[in-house]
Amino acid sequence: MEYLTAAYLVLWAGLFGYVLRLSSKNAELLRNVRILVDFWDTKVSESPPKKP
Amino acid sequence: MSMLDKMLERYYASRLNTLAVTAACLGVLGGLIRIFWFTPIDSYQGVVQKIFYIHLPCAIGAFTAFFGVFVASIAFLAVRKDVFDDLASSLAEVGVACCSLVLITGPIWAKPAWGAYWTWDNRLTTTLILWVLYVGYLLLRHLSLESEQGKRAAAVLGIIAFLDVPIVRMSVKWWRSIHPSVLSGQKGTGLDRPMVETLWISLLTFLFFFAVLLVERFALARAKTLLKKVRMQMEVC
Repeated sequence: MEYLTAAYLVLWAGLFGYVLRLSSKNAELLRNVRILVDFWDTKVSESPPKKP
Repeated sequence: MSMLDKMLERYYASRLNTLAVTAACLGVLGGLIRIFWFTPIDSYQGVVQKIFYIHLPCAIGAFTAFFGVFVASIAFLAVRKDVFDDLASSLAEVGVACCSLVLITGPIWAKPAWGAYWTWDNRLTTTLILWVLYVGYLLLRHLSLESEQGKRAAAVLGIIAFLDVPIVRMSVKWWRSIHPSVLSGQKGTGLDRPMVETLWISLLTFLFFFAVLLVERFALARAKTLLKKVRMQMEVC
């Protein structure tokens, strides 16, 4: 029973490590998306309006 | 940019995410250690009763998430902003994960307690219906390819599906049920003081963990929506 409990806790610890990694990757992704969106917004606002 | 987007940006920019995930992980681990080693064993059911400290927080997590889907769906239909649709879909995924855990831990507990993994009891059946409804909700979102019509249909389903939550909650009162009702509001739940304390610790730590998961999923959904918008603008230009 003790071994099973220890194995269960190790499983949880592994899951938590995965969530931590996922979170840092999410932060990076969101930062990159924000850079892209800001760049695109600036580009669109700076570009001259299309001729009809 | 919505207020939720700004909050999300600040959350990641200040590295609060690392702190929140670490706190949630350590909290749940601490809670589990308390459950396994520092909580008395139930004199009637034995060690298997300890699954209750995981089963109940998962059920409350699922109900809270589905209530969130209900509110976010109403908000989406009222103001038609993508942020509410993303919030509803993220909440539904976390809710389905919690509900799945309820349906896994329940039978594990039921076999030694009742002698069978599953019975078509009111509480069990209505919970299974709830899970099927929200899996259907996620399928609808997936199959509608994120069209505006699909989002509206998903919001309507998100509102209707929530009607099952009060039925699940009240099923043990309305009909005869073998499922115990711990949160009945009556005195004498059969739990000793250390057991009640463990239940509260477990409830708070698990709900915090689910909230952290929700923020991560919501961040991903927002990134996807923002990228989709930029791509559409590029196609127009």
